[in-house]
Amino acid sequence: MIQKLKIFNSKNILIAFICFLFIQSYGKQLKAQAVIGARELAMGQASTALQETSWSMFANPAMMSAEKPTASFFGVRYFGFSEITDMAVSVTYPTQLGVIGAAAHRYGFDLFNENRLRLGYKNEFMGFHYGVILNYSHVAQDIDNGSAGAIGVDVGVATPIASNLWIGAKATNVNHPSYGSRNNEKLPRDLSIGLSYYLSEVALFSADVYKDVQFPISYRGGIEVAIIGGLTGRAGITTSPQTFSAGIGYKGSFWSTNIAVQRHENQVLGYSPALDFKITW
Amino acid sequence: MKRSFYYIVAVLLLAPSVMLAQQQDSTQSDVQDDLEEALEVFDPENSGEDAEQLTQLLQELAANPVNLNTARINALLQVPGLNFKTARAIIDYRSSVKPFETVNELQEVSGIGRVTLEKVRPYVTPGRGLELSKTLFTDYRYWTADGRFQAFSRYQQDIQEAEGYKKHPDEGGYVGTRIKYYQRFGYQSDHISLNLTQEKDPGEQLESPVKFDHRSWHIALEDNGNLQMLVGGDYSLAFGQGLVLWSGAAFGKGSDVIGAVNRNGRGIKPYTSAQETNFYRGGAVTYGGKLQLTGFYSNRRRSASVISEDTTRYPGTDGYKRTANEFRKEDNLGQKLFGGHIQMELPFGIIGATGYQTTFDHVIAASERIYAQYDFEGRSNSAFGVDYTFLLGSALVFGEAARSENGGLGYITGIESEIGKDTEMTLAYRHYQKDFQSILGNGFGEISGQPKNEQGIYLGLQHAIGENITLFAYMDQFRFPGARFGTNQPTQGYEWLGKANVEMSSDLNFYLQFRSEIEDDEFEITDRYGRKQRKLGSSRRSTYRAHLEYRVNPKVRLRSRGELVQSKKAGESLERGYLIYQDIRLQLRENLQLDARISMFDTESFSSRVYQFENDLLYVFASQALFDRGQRMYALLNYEPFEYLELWAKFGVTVYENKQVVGSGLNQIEGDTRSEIGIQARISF
Repeated sequence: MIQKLKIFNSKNILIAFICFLFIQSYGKQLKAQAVIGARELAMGQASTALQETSWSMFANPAMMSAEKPTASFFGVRYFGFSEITDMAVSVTYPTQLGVIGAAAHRYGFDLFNENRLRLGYKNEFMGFHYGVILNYSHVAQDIDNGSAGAIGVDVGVATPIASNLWIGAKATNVNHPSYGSRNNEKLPRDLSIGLSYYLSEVALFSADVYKDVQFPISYRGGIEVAIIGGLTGRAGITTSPQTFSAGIGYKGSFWSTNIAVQRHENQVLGYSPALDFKITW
Repeated sequence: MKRSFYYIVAVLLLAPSVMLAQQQDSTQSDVQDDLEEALEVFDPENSGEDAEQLTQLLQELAANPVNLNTARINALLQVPGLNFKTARAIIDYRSSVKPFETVNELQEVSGIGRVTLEKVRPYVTPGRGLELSKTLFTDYRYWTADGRFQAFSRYQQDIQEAEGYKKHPDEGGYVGTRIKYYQRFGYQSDHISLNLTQEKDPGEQLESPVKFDHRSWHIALEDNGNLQMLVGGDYSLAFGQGLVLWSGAAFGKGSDVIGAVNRNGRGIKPYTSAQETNFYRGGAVTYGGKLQLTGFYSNRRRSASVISEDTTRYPGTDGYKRTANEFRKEDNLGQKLFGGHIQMELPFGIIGATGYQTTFDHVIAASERIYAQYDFEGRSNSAFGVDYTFLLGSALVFGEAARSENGGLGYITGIESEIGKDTEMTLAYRHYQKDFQSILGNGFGEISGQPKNEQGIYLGLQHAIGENITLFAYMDQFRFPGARFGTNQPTQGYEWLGKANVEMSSDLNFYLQFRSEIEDDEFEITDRYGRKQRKLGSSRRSTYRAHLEYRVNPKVRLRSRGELVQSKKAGESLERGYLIYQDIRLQLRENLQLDARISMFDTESFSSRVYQFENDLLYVFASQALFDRGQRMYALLNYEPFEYLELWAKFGVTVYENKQVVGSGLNQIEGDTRSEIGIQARISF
């Protein structure tokens, strides 16, 4: 009982209220389905055809790297609130039968959280890259002890049109999963189509058209420029909602790290910092 | 439903292990492209009948391509993309230069460039070299050359139960089941054609396995010397530019800007479609060579709304018999038709004349509305017209003038010409008087179907830049001198289209297309005294599309599309709607193909709806008008386990985000989901 009271202290209630407002007014863009990865965030979330990404397990599974095994860790703290934090880990492992991957993601805090476990598979056939994700989502609300889970399927395709120009498309939850039997709350479904283009090893452009079935269409674009050594700078924008983001990344021989910061169209909300770290072996 | 998606995913996963052969079905996809160009803005609710016939026409033409080395001029004129000038040039080439060995040699023929060649390619063949040319009528091989027996069985059904099936038939509900069933048996060779088509629509009854709601059959002799066509049973008629007689499919304004106006009448065609009203039943014959004579007689029952004991409305086109109401008017009107066509081929062109007389066994009465004041009324009608196609230097001039029994006149004329090496042009003018009562005609125009009450001028241009870029544009201006459907006064408008097609490589194709139509329309306002007033305003509908197609490898083809629609109805504010889709075709094996697509659409209302053309079971026309907010997915499998058996299966589902009922009236479904399945088998040998 005393513990319960602790949870309902004024700070937590305020935060829960703010979260509720965000979700009501800005919808999915603030929920857990936002992009994972600091590089991806910095490049305006245009990740559908993004080359050399380590977060394809959360974007387009067809873009999973077939070169080396990777393990990546990510965190973002929206608008500085620890209670609306995304944390994720992703491991991909190339085999002779294709790339396999596993990933986990947690969003929220103890009053409300959403967890995802993802298993992925990717393969390539004469330039045609395709991938599938099996996703188990679980939501828990402490307030009325509710929790529910659902299994979704994501699919993605990608192909290089030229050696430095990729096109990709991905769709999430194509099997129309929903939480619980009572209120039948559907998991979000989206379709995105993207292009990414490497301009002579110096700059990478990426652009997406992104449509969540419940929300207006969103255009996303980003650029990555090599600065010096392993250091790169990035910037990106999205529409609906309008956000600006920027970040830098450093790439060592077997590891890399990226930081990003995103500013939302509602300036009261301030900045969201994100950080990720990747090792390859 | 969910299970189906796991199947699809499973198939996708299995894809690489079964990809073996190198075959690609490019003809089919060319035909699909042609159909999409012609039909992309057809509303399935209104124009499904014609569209189905056009689908069947093109697919059958692709399955039985015209032989470049033996076909006569009339057969060549049926190929989309060819006109009298190019058809004549093909005949000259094969007789004076050499026979065609490949389709690509067409580019050697004067007047045929890259764009025309690609248009024509799916529908022509150089043949197999030596043909059995001297076989006698008495030899059975003459009758069975290229012979093929085909049997189709098709089953389609909506998964959700609509309102009409829940209601008892006595209370206005549907009498039959949700199943749509179609079967067809046909034998076709170079010289003989036999066919029986049967169909039951959803909601209609199937009383016994032999008593279908719709039956259509024919026996026909084709291309037997001077006896060009002899049909007993059901047939369609299409002559000249369609001002007098045209039943069945016709191309309209589309992104194929050059062939759009000039119609080369198909003459008599044996009828095989499941469309229930657009045919004649009786006998028809065409005889002759350069001088051709055609005669036809038809006597059939139609269904029309009853006004009084001896009076009905003009018969409708759907042919549905699903409710007690629809049953009451079943076959309640008799229509007889007789007439003929004469055609003379001259060194510089073709001249023809068409005439008919039709009589009904009831008096036909038109609606009282202002827009119907010039419509046909009475028991009998006739029409007569003269059509022509002339070569004039490098240009082709075509047209038709016609008069209906009441004295109303209709006229269309146009010119198709090259301007320089890389540019082609069509210019056409049409004038159909408001009292022109050509009830069996279907002329080119803004309003499809019977040509009446319209003046317009159409200019189409096609320009090739180098080997890879083609530009298309048309502008069509039109005026309705009398009230048209939904208005009470003369109106006018214009429409234009621009398309740039870029073939970045043989595997990568990209186009941008803009299309806009602006026309007068009436709207109602309530003034400050509460009185309703009708005012004239302007309505606009524009579409902007980007489309990318990439053949990744011989097994995989990707298509991505984004389309934006702006719609402003008269007196209302601007609305927007859009569609994006990702489409994939996998040639899993030489005999197994999968098409799948995921679309997202979001429109403010029905008026900003978006259309998407889908692959479907063979001969099924599938254009979807999507509106409101939601997602559509479909998968289509085509499998040919043996040479004589081919199977299709389609599953499609549309889920809406912002509504709890889909559709309206008897077709209303409770819930946010509409899904449908279809399977089809074809046996041929």
